[in-house]
Amino acid sequence: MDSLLLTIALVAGIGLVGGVILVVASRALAVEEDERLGTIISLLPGANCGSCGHPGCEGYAKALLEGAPCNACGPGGHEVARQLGELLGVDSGEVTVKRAIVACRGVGERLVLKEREGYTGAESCRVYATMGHLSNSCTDGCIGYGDCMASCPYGAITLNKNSVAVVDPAVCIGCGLCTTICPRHLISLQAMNDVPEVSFVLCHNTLMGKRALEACANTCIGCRKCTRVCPQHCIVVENNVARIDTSRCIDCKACMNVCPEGAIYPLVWVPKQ
Amino acid sequence: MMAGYASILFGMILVNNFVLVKFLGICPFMGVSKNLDSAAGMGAAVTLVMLVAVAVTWPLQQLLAQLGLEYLQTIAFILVIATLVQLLEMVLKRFIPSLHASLGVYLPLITTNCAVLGVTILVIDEGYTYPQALVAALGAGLGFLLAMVIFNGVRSRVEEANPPEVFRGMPITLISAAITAMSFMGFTGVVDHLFGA
Repeated sequence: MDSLLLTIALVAGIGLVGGVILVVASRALAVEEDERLGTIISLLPGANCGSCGHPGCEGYAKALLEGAPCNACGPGGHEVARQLGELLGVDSGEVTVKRAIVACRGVGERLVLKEREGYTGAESCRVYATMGHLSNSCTDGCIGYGDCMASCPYGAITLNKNSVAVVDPAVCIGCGLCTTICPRHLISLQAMNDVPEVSFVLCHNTLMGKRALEACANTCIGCRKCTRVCPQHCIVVENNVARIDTSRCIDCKACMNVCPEGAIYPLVWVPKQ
Repeated sequence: MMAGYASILFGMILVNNFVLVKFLGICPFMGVSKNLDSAAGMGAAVTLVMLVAVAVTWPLQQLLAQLGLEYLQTIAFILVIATLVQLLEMVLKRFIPSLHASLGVYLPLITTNCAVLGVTILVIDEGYTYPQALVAALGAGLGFLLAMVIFNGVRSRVEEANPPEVFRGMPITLISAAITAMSFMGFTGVVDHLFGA
């Protein structure tokens, strides 16, 4: 019994001495923090996504106090920028709101399965991508094991019935975590502009036209028809795939109408807050 | 007498290097070795914590032994180390904020760094006297610092290299850590022969 009491007393004693030392030290060594820091952190979304270029929301909050522009938080959008601007007494400026987009519609159920045929490894896109290409179908398309879905902290990504990842723009906050996950680099952040709908090439197939068609029925063949009709000149073809600068798109649908393969699709943005 | 201390010191730095031979404290070794300044800062912080921890825990062990409570060693030592690390964090935040920022989450993680607990227990298992224990703690800390700085150099070379994609990032870092560790195996026996302990 004595030894039990002694044990408790000893451990409690060490804890007490340590605690007292820490209390004294924290008083003596207190660092003055700007009281606005806590307010700023509570205003920020708290996603710690790093899309502002700072290490987490706290890092951005500290940078804000040192004069960083308050329109860097894409997930927070206009509302957060406005509140930050008010708090810090500066002009909030324009926020470029971005949404993640998966640039693949899948090659159809049958072809997805064909590509995975013979693969018995872990059900992960990143593992699969290290195994080399197991078939002749599109080697740039969505693998469909949903690594991006697992990486999304907001549940904005789902797999459709063809095992192709799809981002719900109403849920996505544009943090960009998924863009680094996809081993085929299919997911990109696209800037939302003022038109509610923009055109987008839902394809990443870098094969030459004929081979691209053999691999997938939904492919862009890099024919450059769209680049010629675009009044904004915002379409370029690189590596046999057309790319549209969505921030300049005026939604004239000229490219969609001219595309022989139907690879260009309208994307519907959710309205800005 | 001096040869004995030198043998302990260099033995801890080279032969029994905590990171590269005993494989303790791998977490900060991997986490903070990217940048030379924070690697050296982490090494210095750990050295300091080890020294102070042993300075406190060695007498504490004598007290525990006298009371017949040796089985409390682990929990009592962890308590002491946790307090010291908190204290160190406050001191760094106050006086060297840049180092505090660059060490980030790895600073509080020294609390659970097995290298620190390892050295406090090891000096008791070895039956060192108080001065010997302090020298051993200094050696362990300097060994950690040395490993951090060496590995930072290795890593900066690895980052310039162009390994196959599957090895990029953590895999190649772990492999180069293994090779660095193997090179330290070469020190086995050297110190014993030098100082004749």
